[in-house]
Amino acid sequence: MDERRNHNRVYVFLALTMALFGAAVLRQAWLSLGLGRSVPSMGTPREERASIYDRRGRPLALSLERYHVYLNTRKPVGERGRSNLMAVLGIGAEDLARLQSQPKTWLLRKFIDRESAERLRKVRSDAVLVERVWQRQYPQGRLLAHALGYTGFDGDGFAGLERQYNRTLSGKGADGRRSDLFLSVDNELQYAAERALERGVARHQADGGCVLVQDPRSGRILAMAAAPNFDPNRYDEVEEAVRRNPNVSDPVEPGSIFKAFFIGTLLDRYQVDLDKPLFYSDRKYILENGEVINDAKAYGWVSFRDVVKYSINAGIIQACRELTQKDRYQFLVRAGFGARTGIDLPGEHPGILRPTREWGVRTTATILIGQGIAVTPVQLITSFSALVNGGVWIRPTLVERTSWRDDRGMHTQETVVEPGNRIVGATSSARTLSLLTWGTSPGSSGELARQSGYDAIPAKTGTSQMVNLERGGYYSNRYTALFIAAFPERDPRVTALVILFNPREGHTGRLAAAPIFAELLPDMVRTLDLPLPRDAAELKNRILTLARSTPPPSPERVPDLLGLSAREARTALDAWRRQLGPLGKHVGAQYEGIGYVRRQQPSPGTPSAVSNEIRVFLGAP
Amino acid sequence: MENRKAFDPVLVLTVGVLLLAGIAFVFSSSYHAGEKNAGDAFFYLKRQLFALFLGLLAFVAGFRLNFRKVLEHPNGERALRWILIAAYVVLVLVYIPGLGRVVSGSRRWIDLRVFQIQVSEVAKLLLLIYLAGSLPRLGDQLRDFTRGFLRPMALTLGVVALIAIEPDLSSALLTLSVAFFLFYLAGTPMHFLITVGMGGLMGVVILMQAKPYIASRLLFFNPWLDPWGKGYHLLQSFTAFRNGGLFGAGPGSSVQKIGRLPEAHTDFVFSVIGEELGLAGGLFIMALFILFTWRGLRVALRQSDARLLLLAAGATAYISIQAVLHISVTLGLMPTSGLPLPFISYGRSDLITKLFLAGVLACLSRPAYAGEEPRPGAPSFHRPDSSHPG
Repeated sequence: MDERRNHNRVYVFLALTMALFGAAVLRQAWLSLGLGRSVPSMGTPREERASIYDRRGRPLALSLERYHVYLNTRKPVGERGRSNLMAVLGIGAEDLARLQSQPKTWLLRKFIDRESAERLRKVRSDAVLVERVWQRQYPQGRLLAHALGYTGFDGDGFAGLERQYNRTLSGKGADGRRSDLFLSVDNELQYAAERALERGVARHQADGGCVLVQDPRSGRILAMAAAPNFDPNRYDEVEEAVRRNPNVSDPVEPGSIFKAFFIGTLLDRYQVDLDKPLFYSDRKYILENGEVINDAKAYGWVSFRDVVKYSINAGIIQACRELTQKDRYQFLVRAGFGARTGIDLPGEHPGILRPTREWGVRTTATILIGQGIAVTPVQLITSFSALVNGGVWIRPTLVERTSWRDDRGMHTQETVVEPGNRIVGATSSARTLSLLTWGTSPGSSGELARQSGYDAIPAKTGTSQMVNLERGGYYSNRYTALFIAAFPERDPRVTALVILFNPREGHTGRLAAAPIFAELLPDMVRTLDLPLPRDAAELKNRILTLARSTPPPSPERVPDLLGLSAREARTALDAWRRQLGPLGKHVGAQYEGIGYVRRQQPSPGTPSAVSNEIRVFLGAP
Repeated sequence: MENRKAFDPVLVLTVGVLLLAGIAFVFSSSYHAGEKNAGDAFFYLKRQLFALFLGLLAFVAGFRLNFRKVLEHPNGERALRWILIAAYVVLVLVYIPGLGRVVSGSRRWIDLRVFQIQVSEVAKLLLLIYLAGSLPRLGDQLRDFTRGFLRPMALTLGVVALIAIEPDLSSALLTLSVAFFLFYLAGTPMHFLITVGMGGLMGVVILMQAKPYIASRLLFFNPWLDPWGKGYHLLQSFTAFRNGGLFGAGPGSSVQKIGRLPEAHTDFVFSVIGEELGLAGGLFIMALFILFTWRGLRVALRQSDARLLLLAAGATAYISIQAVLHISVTLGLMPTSGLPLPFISYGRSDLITKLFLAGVLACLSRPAYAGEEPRPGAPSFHRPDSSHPG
């Protein structure tokens, strides 16, 4: 081996490397001087994002393939290019000339469809640039906005489920799967909840409010409404405060609703005689340190049942006098207060449960009536669900399952939630439930819930003063009105919580919150197919007998729905749509009102081809 | 009078400037990704700075390590064998459950809890030392295809294959290039290497039949064929250079790094440089790498011991080939693949091994090291080697 040849080989390598770097230099110069074809640079995300659906597969968030069109006026467009632009985008010749008088790249149109983009691209030109983007759309507009959240400029989720499940939806997670979300929320019920809430907010001139509906058996959220509301398609048009989800982010004092929990733990620990006179209510209750707890009026001799029915503050304090500070605190911790529930939403507040050393004599007493503690709405409904479902706390969830497709087909993964703490025994849970039905009996604090047409609703009202965050203490004239209920009374399948913030007209849970629940209950029964109470079941039988005597429906004619209950009408419509075959998928149905079908449009017997939407108007039979 | 212990200041200074540019551009190109992936804009910068600290220790280690002594040790031959075995062992470690980590489909890392190591970096380093130490010993035997050349080449291809199936094709290609250069430098006839190269090409063709995604990656030279799919990232890189123009949009003002360039802080950092500092900045960085290549090869040429020559040339080639590959990818001269830009991109294992090699080069650049007469028995270019017949 000789030295010179070896050295020559080093020089060969050096020359080769120099040549490669030289090519890179030329290439960079070419690109940097803008000599190559131009590439659209503006734009929103390129990545497709998976969709979000409700429990029945109705879309809530979709990514649509769209195109942005740019015009670079430094490059010649050509006559064909000009006419093509004007034809496809509908731009006038004058406007185009005005744009071309300035040398720059214009964003001509955003989010045009694929067909138009293909037509534009047919005329090859360096001046016209077409960029593919994915546009996130929320086809239901404001529906479920707070829970859904929205995505930002680069396509990542900024808030709500879009943020919580960003990796799942975008496929950027560890498994690299892009999965659709199926929520436990029911769109129809959600719509009903939002409508009832909005009406309530307007009627009582409240600052806002929220409604939560949960399945107490599984912890799944069936509806999550908040007012004021916003359209996630245009989320930037409203203030941050409106986009905040009070259901998880805003702790409130629960007020008298808390009595329900302590009734549960009392029944758990002691033999309670419901009808034995418990004590004499003279409107004032004097604590050991001389401070006074007031009630609305003097009730005289009251039993435990009366305490629930009239929501008597002094009564629950008297009944719980044997529970120590520690008992009370430990029960609240076990029931999930003071800690995040772990719901699949970002921005959850843990609520405020102060340690017992910070409790004075007053707080030790008022904690029983929900003062001196702050809980989020989702905490409150989840713990209430535990109270009525047999006693077991279950983590709340919005996403019921995720679903993705790969080479081997569709896959589905159910959300599995392990049961959490037992907060009361099963027997106490059942007894609490039946005791709480007194909360909506005639003359009770929650009696307005009976406006729904149903009785026997286990429920509790609450009214609390709003905390003044600026100066400390409470506002003397601002209140939070609350109402919580379960339905039906045995083995409840839903729990619902209604809260109004600062209602100026009729500020109590009794007057402001209970009627919202009353308005919503028939919708829950309809959309969730809840079992009907006794007398309504009889009515249904009568109507069914009537229905059987009418001739069978034919696919060519719109069926006769008159007199059917909403549930039956839907079953009949679904059957008819199946008969229609593939056409049936395009026929929509819209339900308005509550109760039984009074009118339908188009009317029975109309040829099916006339309309692809059937409107059903419900009312009292 | 020349200080016989002084290292080459130009070489070390070049590396220093590249490192400074690295700190600036790791931050500039990673803050968005850091905020998005870890909720901390400084996430990648902090990790890279820690790696830089370790890298400087590695530099000192490389500088202090006396390779001459290592090579001249009576057990040198055996040590080299162990070094090669070690290269194989680290590459197999990634298949041990609990130790190996799979990131987006690639088994490249082993997880040591505090630190993840990219094993191919370590393997490449070990292979380099093995080849530098063993090829000159073979001397003219390398001219014999079956008895001299085939064994070390087969062992090298084994390492390359293990890297390729991780899969880390670009890293495998880089390793193969450096190894070929070392074989070439050690005196292997050109046609041997061409034969192996043709064989490798056929292997790749067969592999492409089995895994079509490799074919689509390798054959993809024209991004305009699929501007919204496979060509998208490259077109975004082109846009970055276009935005940069002659003098750049200014430090920190790249818009392409925000969501459009994939892995802006690793595989596309040169595009960010091109956008923020323009053609001028790109030329400056390339000039630094050219300077580094020249000074590194100069160190190699000054060695009187063939093994140290190979070590220095290999270390230089390793860094400069990687740099030119990275730059070519961002410019669309090479099919898209992921290689960090040495000393600049985010990549901790890469930074530490590259600094170790820089330390080795700095050590070998000392006149005291290079100019000293080789001990008897060391293979040399100055005089006929008595230990090897013929």
